[in-house]
Amino acid sequence: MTVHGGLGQSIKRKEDARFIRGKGTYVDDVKLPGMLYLDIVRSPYAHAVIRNINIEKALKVPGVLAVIRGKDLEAANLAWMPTLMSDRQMVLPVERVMYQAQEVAAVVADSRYAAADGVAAVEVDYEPLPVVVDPRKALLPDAPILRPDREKKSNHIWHWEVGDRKGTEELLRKSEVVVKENIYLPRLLVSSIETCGCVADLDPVSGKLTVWMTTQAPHAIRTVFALVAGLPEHKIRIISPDIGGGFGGKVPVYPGYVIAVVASLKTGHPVKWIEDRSENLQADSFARDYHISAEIGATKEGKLTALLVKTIADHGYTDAAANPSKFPAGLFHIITGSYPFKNAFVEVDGVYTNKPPGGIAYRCSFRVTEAAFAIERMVDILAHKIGMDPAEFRMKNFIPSDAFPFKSVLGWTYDSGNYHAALQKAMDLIGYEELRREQEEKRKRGELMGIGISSFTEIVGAGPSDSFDILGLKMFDSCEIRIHPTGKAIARFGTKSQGQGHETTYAQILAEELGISSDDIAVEEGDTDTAPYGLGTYASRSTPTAGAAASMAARKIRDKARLIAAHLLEVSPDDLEWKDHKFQVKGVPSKAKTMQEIAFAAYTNHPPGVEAGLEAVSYYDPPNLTFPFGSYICAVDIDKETGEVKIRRFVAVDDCGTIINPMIVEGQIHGGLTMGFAAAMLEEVQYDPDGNMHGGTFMDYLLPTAVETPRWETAKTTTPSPHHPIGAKGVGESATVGAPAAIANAVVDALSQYGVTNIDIPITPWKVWKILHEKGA
Amino acid sequence: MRQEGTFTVRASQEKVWSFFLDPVRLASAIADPHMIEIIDDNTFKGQIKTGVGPIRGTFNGSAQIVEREPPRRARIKAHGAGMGSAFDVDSTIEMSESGGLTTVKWAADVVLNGTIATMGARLLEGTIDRKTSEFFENVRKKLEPH
Repeated sequence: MTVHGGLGQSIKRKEDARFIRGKGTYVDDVKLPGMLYLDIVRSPYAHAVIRNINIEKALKVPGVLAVIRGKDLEAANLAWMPTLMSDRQMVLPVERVMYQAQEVAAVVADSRYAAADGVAAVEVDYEPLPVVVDPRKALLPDAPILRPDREKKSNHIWHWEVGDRKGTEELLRKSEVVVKENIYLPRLLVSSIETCGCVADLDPVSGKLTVWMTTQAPHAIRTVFALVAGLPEHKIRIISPDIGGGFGGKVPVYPGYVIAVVASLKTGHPVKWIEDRSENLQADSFARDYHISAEIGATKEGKLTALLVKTIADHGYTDAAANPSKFPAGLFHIITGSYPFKNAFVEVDGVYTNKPPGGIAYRCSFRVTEAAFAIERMVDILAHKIGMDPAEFRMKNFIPSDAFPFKSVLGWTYDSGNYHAALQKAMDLIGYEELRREQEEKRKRGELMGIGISSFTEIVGAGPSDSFDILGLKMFDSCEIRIHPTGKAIARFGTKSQGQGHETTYAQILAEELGISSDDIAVEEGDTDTAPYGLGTYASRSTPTAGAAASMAARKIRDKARLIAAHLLEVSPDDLEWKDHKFQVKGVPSKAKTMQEIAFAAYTNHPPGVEAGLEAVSYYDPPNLTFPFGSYICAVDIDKETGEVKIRRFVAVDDCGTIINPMIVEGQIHGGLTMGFAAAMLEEVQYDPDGNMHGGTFMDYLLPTAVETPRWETAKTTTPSPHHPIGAKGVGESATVGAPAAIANAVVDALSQYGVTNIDIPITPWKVWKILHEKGA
Repeated sequence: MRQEGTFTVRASQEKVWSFFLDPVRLASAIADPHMIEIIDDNTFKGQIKTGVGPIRGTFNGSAQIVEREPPRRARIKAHGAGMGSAFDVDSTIEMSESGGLTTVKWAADVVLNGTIATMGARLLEGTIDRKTSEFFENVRKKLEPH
C-alpha cells in the first residue's frame, strides 16, 4: 500500500501554487509601517585612499534622514566584521576602498528615490592607488601590499595542502605517460533572479531585532549577529522568507545587512535595503577564479598512477568564502574523482586581489565543480595522449563497484557507487559507437565533430561533526515534527529552500515514514523564532542532513506511536510491526492502527505512563558525506568558418541514490545542466587593469535563454547511500558540477586533430575560430 | 585608454591657439549641456550632463592647464566624477600652420573608473569617437569663415 505523496512519487510541488500565481513573499514584498529605505554609495575605484566623504549636500536632499560612514561605525566597533574564514571584511571603509563597487557610505531616506538622490549627492574624494587584479602578479615581490592591516606583509593569504608530495612526484617520474596542463576556471557570478536585501527592524521598546533577509542560513546568521553585535540571541529574529534563487550567493553576510541594522538602530524605524541588479553582480560573492596546474600520470597501457595539482585561488580583498572551517579550499581534494590513484597531492594558495570577496558561491558544493572539471579534463587529455578511447580509458580506471566503501588516497571514504553502470548507460543512450563512427567519417570529409565524456563524483552533505564546522558550529541539521490530533502534521527544519522544493520533498519523506499524506504535512523553514537550529541550505546538504533528520524524527514519532497503538490494540508493543504505513499485529493485518488513529489517541486516550501528545525533534549528525555521481556524454558540431559550437546531443545519467521526487530531481538536473552549459560556453567576468569589472550587467555577462540551451536527455541509475536513513544522496549541484567538462572535452576532442589539448572555458566562437585560424584549418 | 588624432582647420595658428586656450570658447564647442566656471588663468571647473549608453547623468569636474608654450603646445589635465564613476584625462595639443591651415595634433590618456567603465565598456569607444568628431566639427564651425 502506498501513501499519497510518499517516496518516489512525482507529485507537483506544493510551493508552486503560490510561485506561479506571483503570490510568493520575498524580502522586497515585506512592507512595514514607517519603513525607511537605504541605498549605498559605491566606489568607482578598485583601490584608493578615501581622503574625505562630504555628506552636506546629501543631507539637504529632501527625504534624506541620515548618511552613515565608516567612521560612524568605527565608534561602535562595527566598521569591520569577521568573515567565516577567520579574516575580516569592511562593513564601511574608514581609510581605503579595496574593489570597485565596494560600499563607501549609506544613505537612509523616506523613499527609495530620495535615497538614490542622496547617494548621488555624497561627494567622496579619492586618491587612487595601484591596482592588482591578477593573483599571480599579486604574489610577485614588487606587488603592492593590499592588506597592510594584517601582520603578514604579503598578498598570500594561506597555503593548504593534502596528500603525499614526495611520493606523488616520485610516482609521476616513474610513470610511463605524464601530461601536464594549466586550467583556468574563470570568475563567475551567481545571477540569482532575486538580488540580495533585507528589512531590519530594531524595536526601540522591546529591543528585539527582526531581520527579514535573503539568507540561505538564518540560524548561523543569527548567531553571527549575536557574536558580532553583542546582542542577546533571544532578541534576534532572522526570517528568511521565499528566496528567488541562492546558489551559494546568499550564504555570506554582506555589509548591506549590517548597515541596515545600524540604520534601524539610528533612526528607530524599520529600514529596507534591496540591491539593484548591477550592485548584485558587481559587489556580491562570486564563484571559481581558480588557476589550476595539474599533472597526471599513467602506465602506457592506460592505468592511472598519480595526480599532482597546484592551484592559485583568487579570493578578492578578503577571504570571505563560506567553507567549513577546516577546509580553506573547500572539498577540492575530491579531485581524484572516480579513480583509484595510487598517490596524489593537492595544494592551494589563497591570494588577495582588488576584486570583490567571496569564492565558493554558485552551485559548486565547496569547490567540487573546480575539482570535477580539472580531473575530468586531465583524464581526457591523458586518454588522447595514450591514444585510447576516453570511454574505454575511464572504464579501465574507475573505482570498481565492489570496492565501496572506498577510501580515496586523499582521505575521503566514498559511501557507494557504480561508475561503470552509469557510463555504460550513457553510452547506450547516446549510441556511443555509432557516434564515433560518424565522427570518423566526418573527419575524412573535413567536418568537425567532437564527443566528450564527464564521469564525475561529487561529495556533498556536509557534514560529520568530527571534521565539519562553520565558525565552530557543527554542521548537523534538524527536523521538528508535531502531529496534530486529527493526524495532520507540521514539520520545521533548520535548512532553507531557495526554490529547491523542500516543502514538497520533506513532506514526502515524512509521508513515507509516518503514513500521513504529504498533502497533510505542512513544512516550515527560515524563521529562527520557530525553526529548530540548523546550518542552512547550500552545498547540496539539505537532503543528506535535514532530510535524514526528517526520517530520524519521524522514527522517534513511530517509537511513541507504537506504544499508543499497542495500548489501543491491547497487545504488547513487541507484537506490532510497522507495515503498509501502519502498526499492525504481526500476522494479523486486520488488527492495525493508522497514524491518524494513533494521533487522535495521543491527545484523547494516551496510555498510562506515556506522556500525551505526539512530537519529536532530531538533530542529525551525518556519519559520513554522500557521494553522488554520474556520467555525461556530449556531442558537438563545430562550424569551421565561424568557430561556433553546437551541442547536438547531451545525455546525462545521474545517480543521487534514493530519489524522493523524480520530477523535482529532473528539474534540478535540467537547471544544473543549463548552468553547466552556461559556464562552459558563455559566462565569465573580466577586470581591466584598473580593476573595473567588465561583465557587470546582463548586457555583457551572458546567461543562456531557452533559445541557446540544448535539449537535455536525462536518465538515472540508483545506488543508495548505505548510511543515509533513506539512502538519498542529494542532487542540487550534480549537473552544474558534471556538465562543463563534458562540453569542454567534446570541443577539445573535435579540435584534437590539430594538436589542441586544452581550451579554457567559456568556449566562445572567437576562441575556437582563433585556434582554427592559427592551425590553418 | 589612449585617444589621439589630428584636426585641420582653415584659420591662423594664433586664432586657433587663443580659441583652444580660452575655456569658455572651447567649451562652447561641447554639444552636451554644461556649465563652466573660471577659477584662474589656468584652472576652471565645470559640470556636464552626458553619458554612455544607458549611463547618463551629471558629472562634476575640474581642469588645469599644466603646461603652455604659446602658440604651439599645451598640456591639460582634468578630473571628474559622477554617476558612480570617475575619470582622469591627461591631454596634449600641438599646433602648426601651413598654407592658411592649422593642424592640431591631439592626444589624451583617459582613465575611467566605476559604472561608466563597467557598464559602458562595450559602448565607450564608439561614444568617445562620436563625441570627439562632433566636438571638432563644432570647433571648425566656430573658427572657419562662413
